[in-house]
Amino acid sequence: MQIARAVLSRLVKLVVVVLIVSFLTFMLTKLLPGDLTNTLLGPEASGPAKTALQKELGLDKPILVQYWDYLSGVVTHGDLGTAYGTSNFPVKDLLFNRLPVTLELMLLAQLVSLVISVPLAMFSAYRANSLADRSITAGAFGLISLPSFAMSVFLVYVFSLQLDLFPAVGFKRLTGPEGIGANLRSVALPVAVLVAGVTAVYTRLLRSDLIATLQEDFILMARSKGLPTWHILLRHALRPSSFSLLTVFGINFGALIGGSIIVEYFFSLPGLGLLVVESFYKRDLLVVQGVVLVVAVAFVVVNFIVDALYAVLDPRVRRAGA
Amino acid sequence: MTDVLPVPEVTGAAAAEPHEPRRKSNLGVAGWLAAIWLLVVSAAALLAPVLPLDDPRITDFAVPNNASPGTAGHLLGTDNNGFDIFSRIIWGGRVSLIVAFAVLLFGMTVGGLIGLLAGFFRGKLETALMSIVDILLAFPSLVLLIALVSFLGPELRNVVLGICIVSIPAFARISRATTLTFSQREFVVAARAAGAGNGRILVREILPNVILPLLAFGLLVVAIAIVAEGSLAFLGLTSTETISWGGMINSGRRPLQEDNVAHVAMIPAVVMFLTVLAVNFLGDRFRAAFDVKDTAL
Amino acid sequence: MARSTNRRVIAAPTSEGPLLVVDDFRTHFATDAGLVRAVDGVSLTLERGKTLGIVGESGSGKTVLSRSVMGLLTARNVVRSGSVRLNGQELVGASPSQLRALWGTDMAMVFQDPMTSLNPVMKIGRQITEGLRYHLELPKDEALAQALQLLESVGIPDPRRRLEQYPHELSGGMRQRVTIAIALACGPHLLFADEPTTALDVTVQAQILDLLQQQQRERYMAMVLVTHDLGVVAGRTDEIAVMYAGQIVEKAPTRTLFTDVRMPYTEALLKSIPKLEEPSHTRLQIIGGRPPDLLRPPSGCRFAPRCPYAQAKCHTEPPPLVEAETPGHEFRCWFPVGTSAGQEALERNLAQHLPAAEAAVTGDSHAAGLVEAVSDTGGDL
Repeated sequence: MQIARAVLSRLVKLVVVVLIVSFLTFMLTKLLPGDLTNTLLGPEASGPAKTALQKELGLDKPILVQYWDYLSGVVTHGDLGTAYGTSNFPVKDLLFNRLPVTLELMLLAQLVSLVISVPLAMFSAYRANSLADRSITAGAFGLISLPSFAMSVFLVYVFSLQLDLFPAVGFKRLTGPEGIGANLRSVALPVAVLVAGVTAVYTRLLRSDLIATLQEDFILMARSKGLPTWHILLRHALRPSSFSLLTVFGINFGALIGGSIIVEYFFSLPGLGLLVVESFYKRDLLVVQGVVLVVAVAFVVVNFIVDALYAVLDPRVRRAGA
Repeated sequence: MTDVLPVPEVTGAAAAEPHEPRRKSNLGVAGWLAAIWLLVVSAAALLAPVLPLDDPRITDFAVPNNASPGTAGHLLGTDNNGFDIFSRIIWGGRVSLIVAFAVLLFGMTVGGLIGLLAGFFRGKLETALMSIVDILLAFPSLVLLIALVSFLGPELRNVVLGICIVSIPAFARISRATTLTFSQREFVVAARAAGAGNGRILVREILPNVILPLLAFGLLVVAIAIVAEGSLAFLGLTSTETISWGGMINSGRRPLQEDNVAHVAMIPAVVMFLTVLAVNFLGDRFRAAFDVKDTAL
Repeated sequence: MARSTNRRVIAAPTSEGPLLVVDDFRTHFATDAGLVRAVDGVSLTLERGKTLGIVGESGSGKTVLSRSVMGLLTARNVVRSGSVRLNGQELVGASPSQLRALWGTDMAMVFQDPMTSLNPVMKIGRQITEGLRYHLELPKDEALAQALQLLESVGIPDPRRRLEQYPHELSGGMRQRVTIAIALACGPHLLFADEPTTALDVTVQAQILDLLQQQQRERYMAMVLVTHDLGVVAGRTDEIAVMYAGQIVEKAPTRTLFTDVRMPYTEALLKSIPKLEEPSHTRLQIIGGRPPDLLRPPSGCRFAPRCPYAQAKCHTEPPPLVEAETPGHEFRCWFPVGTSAGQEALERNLAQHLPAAEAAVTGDSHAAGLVEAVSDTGGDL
């Protein structure tokens, strides 16, 4: 009963946040100097064409009505407008076309980062203050200070120019004729750029939480049972140390979308990020707006799910039902 | 039995703690290097108009584009437009400097104030203020920045404004957390008991204690802000009138990927990295001194 | 795999020699300020099935002693020397894996605070069975059946439900029963109980102590009961060792210690226990001053600065551990309680109005607080 109420109140909060986010995204077009039609059709466009587009976009109605039309269009049939500036394709189609690349980049980056950082942090925390630990900590600190566009330059220089291991640019579709191997090779460097930063963040965070956990009495108790070290690290220390990692894992989707935009642009990968940048160049602002909306809502929902995962990790939260 | 412990009973927790020599609070060699680097970069950027540099916007037709470092008086070579890279590096530092100070002046003031008021007055005001902050956080920051420059225009003024807005939530959260802890301290309770009003307590008792951790934390935000401007410039979303390290990396992208010429992109990338590293390093040291946790974000 | 070497049969106790022999055992911590001599030359023997009480105030080194004997202190700044033999096997200098093979199966520990010594995010059942499954290689269902039995034997109602619960769902007393069940799981020959009741409500303290005693008897297990409270060990131990500043200052069979105390520190501890036969509101005696700095222990007797009997000799010459008339009774004191030398020393101090002596007789804590200040100015006023 209590749990149901807690879940319900969170769902309500989620909906409110999504509504506000969509309203702010909708209001972006109102920031434009002059009229949206000006930007979409260019200053030379004829008066009747502008008036027609104004009518079509409903720009002559009151703002709240416009928002309501926008929102109901999005909710009922995913209508995000049309890419007037270029192809006249629906924005929705452009988005869906580009989404898989960005998703692949982000999910691969998260997965690889976890696979690297969890054992690394466990080793580092277990050998806290040893030479190895200090090197890992210093390396992570350096990587955190390395902007992803600089990292892209370094990796291309080393792995494409010097070693000629990976392509410096270009993308092979997962479903393309050359198959998954070519796809992975084409995303190897971009994913590596994303992984570098994310792994550094995760390792630092998990290491410091693990060090704190390893001081706990229950770890001493587990040791006094004669359990092997790996068992204690994995079974006893990891779970209670992973709460802030979980939070940051969710928040990092935001940082990753940013990193994704950078690497997609740098390596010419046809994802959402490249779409945004291209649309910016072409002044196709409804596409930019559509991407902003989808990304922001997805980000809010992901963090909502992460919040819910707390209860799975920590039985104390489950009981509190909060 | 007395409860005074001369030597605390070394329990498992304390004993398991590795032997760590007490850290001195001074900067150390690395810290001094970081400080010197930032000083040199800032001084050069400030003095750029009076330094004997090549004009960063004039192509040198005497040498080929993408000329290697050391060619014909170009210490760091030229880029794909034939511009002198050394000169552009120095001029590019100005944007980073502007962004850094704007964030400290505007982002920190607004964010700090929001956090201060929320943490001090609690209640509905806190809920309202922190909701604004949460809404801002709902947008991934680079996405929000791109949206703002897309619709406001790519001028430097808008870029700086956008970065300041994006920096507000971080400052607000840290300021609120610090205010919360200090509001319950004895000296605040004592001041209140002595009849001091809210305004007086805020200004005299809490603000001085919030400012230092906020400043220490500010360096981290400055690093992020410099990277954010670099990202926008790298993506070509800022005005090409502005010389920026990010923009330089962008113009070095094609030479790197297509012509196997690395230095055009590498030099600004290294400079950017060293600068961000230096700011982060100093920030880390200051935060350790004021015991501000990164996770308080 | 190395796992098969962990397989152990819970052997019936063999009768060869004492179970635990600790000889001139030291544990020092290297710190920035210098070497902290937390345990400084302790010798003990413990027979199978017997209970030893280790009593001392906070900072006396009793917790460090128990953990260090087991080998649980593994930080890099810990220096262990001397000898600890369990069943004849030397533990000082033993490898981590050798020690691990003994933990849980040969020796186990119950910690002070059951609120913090159980893993908050692991089910009770699993916390009991993991040792069984690792050391005895029991399959899951057998381990669970055994866990159920263990929970029953430590007096936990509705044990089947407890297996699926998390620690926060249990009361403090119940949690300590669980930690006892965990410690007993693999049938250790030696159990360390480190202040097992300090963190608990007064009402459940006696229950937990009774449980430990009952289990110790049923399993013919040796037990080291560490406490700051002489009252706790009074009726439950075969022998008591009193620790002060990293050393054993008096050791005797329990009855002897209470009837024939020799060391002034033990006497002071005894006087600080409330007694039923005394009228209510009788002022309890406290020990003035504080335990010495283990970085720079006093050059003579370590208790001398707080001792009502202290003479000039006490401040310069450390007293050795000597045998009393009763077998098995040892103490460190130049002017033992209950001897004419001790009596004279106390009277001499009283005549000089030394505050420690006056406090010891009148129970005036205020005067006692001055002891240290006075003694610092020179021992033999």
